[in-house]
Amino acid sequence: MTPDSMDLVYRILDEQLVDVDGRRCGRVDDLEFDGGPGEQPRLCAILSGSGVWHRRMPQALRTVGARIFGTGVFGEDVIRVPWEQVDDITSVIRLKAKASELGLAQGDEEAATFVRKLPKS
Amino acid sequence: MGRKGQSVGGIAVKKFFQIALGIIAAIGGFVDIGELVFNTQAGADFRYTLLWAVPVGVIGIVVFAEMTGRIATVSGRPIFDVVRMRMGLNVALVTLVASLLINLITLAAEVGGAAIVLQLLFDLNVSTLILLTVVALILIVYFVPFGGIERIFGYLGCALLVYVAAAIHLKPNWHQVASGLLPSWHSSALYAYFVVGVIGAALVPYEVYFYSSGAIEDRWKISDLNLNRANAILGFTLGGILSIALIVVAAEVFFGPQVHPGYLGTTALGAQRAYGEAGLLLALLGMLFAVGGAAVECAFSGAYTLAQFAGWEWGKYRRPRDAPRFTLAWLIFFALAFVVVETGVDPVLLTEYAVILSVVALPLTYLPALLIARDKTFMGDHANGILANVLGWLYFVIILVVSVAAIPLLLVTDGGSV
Amino acid sequence: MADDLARGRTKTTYFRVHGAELSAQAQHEAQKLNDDPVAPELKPPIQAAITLASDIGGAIDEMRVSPQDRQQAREDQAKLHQWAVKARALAESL
Repeated sequence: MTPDSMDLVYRILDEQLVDVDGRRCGRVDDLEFDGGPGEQPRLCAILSGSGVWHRRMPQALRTVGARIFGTGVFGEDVIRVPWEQVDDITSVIRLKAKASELGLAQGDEEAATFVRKLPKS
Repeated sequence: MGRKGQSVGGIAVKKFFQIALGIIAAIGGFVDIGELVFNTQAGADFRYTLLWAVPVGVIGIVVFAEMTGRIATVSGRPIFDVVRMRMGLNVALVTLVASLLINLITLAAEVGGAAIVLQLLFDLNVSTLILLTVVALILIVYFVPFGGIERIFGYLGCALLVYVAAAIHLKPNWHQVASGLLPSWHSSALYAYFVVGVIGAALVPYEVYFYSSGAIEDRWKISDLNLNRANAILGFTLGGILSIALIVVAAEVFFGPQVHPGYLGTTALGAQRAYGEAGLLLALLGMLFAVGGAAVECAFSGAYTLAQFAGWEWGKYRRPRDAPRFTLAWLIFFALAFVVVETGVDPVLLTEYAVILSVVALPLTYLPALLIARDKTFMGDHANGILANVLGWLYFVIILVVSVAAIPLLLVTDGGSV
Repeated sequence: MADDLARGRTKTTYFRVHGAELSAQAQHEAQKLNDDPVAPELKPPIQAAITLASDIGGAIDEMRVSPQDRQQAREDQAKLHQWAVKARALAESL
């Protein structure tokens, strides 16, 4: 492997996403490429959310997986983060924007409405 | 150079106390309901002949915990982060489901155990005590900082050291005790079941999930790697001495009259035989905090695994509103455990199943930790050396053998009752 | 346990709670023996075992009712010791 190349499965897939404020905001659950047949494929986005999990499961489990974890509706169970939003790759994937601006960590927002009611939260 | 107004010697003394206090907390935190149940039954049924299984389990947990603590310190990755990243989605998902289930069973067993100890102390209705236990644990976890939680349960759990004193006081035949520490074998399924149980009780994965995530909670830096090594080696080894003491006391008190200790109350009887009411009270106090501390570790471990698998914000060092799904997760774990224990299921039976099922799932978390710990891409100069690699792979083989044997032995011996 | 109770070396709450567990276990064993079908030649030893289990449960219950009564505890301890010897002999004879 050349210094310019990177093993995407080894270094990117399944890694932790961290937003510009240092907040953990999901994982790299899948990758999106563009480029047609005969062209050089180009990594264009990170997909984060349980809606893509069924695609990575063994064939026999995909239907059940989609039913449990979602079918992959963008903006709901999958968030698309353009590759341009990636700031740095260390032991985590650092993003250039806040999680809320990218639509990530929506579950935290929902849970926070309850947790904020607790004392000293 | 020391900080302003603080000498180099002062810093060294402070560091020494930091290490010593960490070790004391680890001793008290090592024993949980699994150790109390399996080690007492092992001593009662097989006298000293299962003692050798304790060091086998203890060295295993030292190797596993040191690796995961080092990975967390060097690369900032807690254990389930490593599982997800190294094993991929599908294996990690299977590991997650298994871990959550085992964590829940273990948490229920620990909560039930704490309620039983309170009942032995106060003779109140057990259902009320289960509720009180869960509420008290939730309040402590919610309001006390991470370091405080470790210290409260770790230090007070050290009351269990009464078993070490009792083991000496009861004047066992030390030659036979020493012989018991050398590996031996009995050709019975029940003996093999207890070998798996004693090793499994020392190697429970939730302790490692907690330890590894705790390294990040405590913000360990590269300079803390010695602290990691000292905590893992000395803390767990000294904790293992407690396990040995439990076996020796059980062998002295229960083996002769052929008592099979099926209750936590019977375990406490060993300390009472040596020191009367004072011994009993120390044993019950130690059990209460050891089991209560283990319950906290279990609830946190469940929340850590879930959050790390899905990439949520997590950590007790965050305010609850800044890690809301993590906070809800551990609250829900306590609530589910409460429901399980209130069904009236026997915590001792739950413990046996939890330990055996933990053993089965162990390779799923151990292997990715080993692979990352030896990978220079992630660990740089702090990757496993020759000794850590040899021990790491040796224990992977031991863990595989034990995990394959666990379920058949559970079935053949009807949970250790045949 | 009975020995510690007779010598005032235990806590009454502990004795009551743990004694209840042990007594219930003894009674449960007696019921199981009573319900299980047995061969005619095994009936006398099984009957003896049922009586032993019931007596043991009864003695523990007696101590649980008045754990402060050391004299009672000493008597029950002696009885429990004898029954333990009998139970072991019975188990060996089977």
